[in-house]
Amino acid sequence: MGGFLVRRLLWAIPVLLVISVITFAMMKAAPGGPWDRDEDRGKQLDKRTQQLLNQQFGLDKPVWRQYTSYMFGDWRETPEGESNFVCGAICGNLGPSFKQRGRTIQDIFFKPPTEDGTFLDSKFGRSLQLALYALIFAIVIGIPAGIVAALNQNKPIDYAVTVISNIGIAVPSLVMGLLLIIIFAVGLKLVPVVAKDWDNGLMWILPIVSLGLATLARVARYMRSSVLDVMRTDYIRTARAKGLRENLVVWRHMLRNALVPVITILGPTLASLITGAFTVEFIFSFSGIGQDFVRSIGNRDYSMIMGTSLLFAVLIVFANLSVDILYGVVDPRIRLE
Amino acid sequence: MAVTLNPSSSVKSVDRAKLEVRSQSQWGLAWRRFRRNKLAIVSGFILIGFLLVAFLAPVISPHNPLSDKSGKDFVPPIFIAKSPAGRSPDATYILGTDQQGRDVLSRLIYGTRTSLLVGLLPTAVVLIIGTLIGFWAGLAGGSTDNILMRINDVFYAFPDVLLLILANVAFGDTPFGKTWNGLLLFVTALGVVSWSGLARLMRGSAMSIKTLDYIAAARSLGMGNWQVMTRHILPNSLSVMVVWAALAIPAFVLTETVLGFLGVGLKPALELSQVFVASWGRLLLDARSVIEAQPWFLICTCFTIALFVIAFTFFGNGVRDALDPRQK
Repeated sequence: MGGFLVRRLLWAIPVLLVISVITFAMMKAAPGGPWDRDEDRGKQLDKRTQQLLNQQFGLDKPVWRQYTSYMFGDWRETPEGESNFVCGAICGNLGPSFKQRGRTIQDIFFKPPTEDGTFLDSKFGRSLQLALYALIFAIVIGIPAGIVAALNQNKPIDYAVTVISNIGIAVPSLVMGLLLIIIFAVGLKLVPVVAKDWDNGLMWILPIVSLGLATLARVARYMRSSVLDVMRTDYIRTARAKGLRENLVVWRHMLRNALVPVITILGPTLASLITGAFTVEFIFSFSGIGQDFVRSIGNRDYSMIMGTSLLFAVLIVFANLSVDILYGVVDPRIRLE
Repeated sequence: MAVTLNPSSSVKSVDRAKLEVRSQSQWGLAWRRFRRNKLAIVSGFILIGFLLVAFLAPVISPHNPLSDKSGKDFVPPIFIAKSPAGRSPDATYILGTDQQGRDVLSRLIYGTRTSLLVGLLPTAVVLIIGTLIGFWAGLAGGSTDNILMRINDVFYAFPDVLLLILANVAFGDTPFGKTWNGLLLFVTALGVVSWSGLARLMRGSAMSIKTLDYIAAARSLGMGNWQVMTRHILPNSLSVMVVWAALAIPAFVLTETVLGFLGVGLKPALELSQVFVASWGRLLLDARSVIEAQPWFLICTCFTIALFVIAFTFFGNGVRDALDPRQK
């Protein structure tokens, strides 16, 4: 187990490096640069200013050097004329933003916007909350729905759960989110079309539902088929044969074992919730890490693009890893090698 | 004897066809299983409908999807008495018009064209890339397999939506990105990020088939790697490929709608002579911006997309169940 963990964590390093190289190469291959248009001032910067900015941000260096100084760090001149080593992305320094001057990417992601806010109010905190609530929503409703469907196999309630979950899996969060906005914001006027006040819990309901619905449907479907598989096993027959109460058979023997396959889908699911949140954040103008990404590419905010890609990649790698570990915890027969 | 047994005449005439057992291919059996699945059949017909709409777009569109000369914007669909913007419906605009007075129905019809192509073309490309890499890894084994699968790991962990957005924004204005209104770029980018899942499936398939006895027999008769692959492994992996494709097509269509909604996908043309004059993703973006003045625009677009992906998913599930030999 320990060896497995170490190996998987070590393997994550080259994966992240390759992802960063590809992202960096594409970003640099794109025509234009961060100083082409300054939307805040609405005018083109003159040559001299551009040169100074290039120096300040290290864009005057060769491309490979720009990459290594972003990822690993570089020597920077301090105002006093000393040369200081500034560590790069591997130390968690995602670089200064090219557009939001004076702020670093890690500040933008992880620091709350106001002084009295907590980590949960930061962009990353918000995104994390959204994904977790969506996952909880999916599990809390999906698992019971799957169980009920399986225990009532081939009855109307089973068909209803199956058809609804198939539709839930098919309809993407984008379409679902827009339909929810039409119904609850435009039609019933229960929430504003463009929510601004994210401290109000009511605002969170629509994003959570549209993000979590597909996961809910998937969880329900897996849970149903998993319970059906377990129902036919010998140990359930044994449990019944020895006169165990039906309640105990269902709760202690059936459901505990039926949960294993469901946990296997949580890895890809968690990853898809993180990257899928991106669309949902856009639809609902939710201020999370995905929201500014499109604009940052258009602006060629290089450190923002790299920072977002790296953060997402790290999250995906760890989501996959955590599920491999969970397998071992839930089912001791699975040995991690 | 009054009664003569004459089996040859009576039995033959009774029903010979019923007594004969026709041999059936794997695909024939799959088709029989598929036909029993009503939901899949209905979905299949809906998809044929979408296909017809895409082909006949110029014939069946009631209006020019680009023309905004009518001067009638925000017209509600004919089943609505009055739009929030205070307009009354117009019988010639069945689903109403958008903010520029363009016919919503015609735009949806032309969008179907784009979406089908966007679903089918990348699927074909990814099928080729993924299958080749998967077979290569599975057949070669050893260090080749190891290297290919480690590369696969990288792409598996890639945040693909981010890469697609990055690729589309970065290269959207280059000549390459403008080819076929951005379709070439879209297909290339999807090909790069999407092959990893299929390659894993194909590798598994190749690995399980290559250990079978008949492959050993074929090899002992002097068959090379390429022949083994095309004659034996490919035909036996076909059902996995079909199932993958049936679920990949709607996924790719949805990717286009997401990118279009973010404003970075295909760039719809401004002339009717070109293939892509509308895309569902772009329609969603347009409709979202006028959600309060013309909610029906967004509702119609959402329902079209939802109908398509639901039909494709049920169809795909039907195909999967029909091809899965465990069903029998």
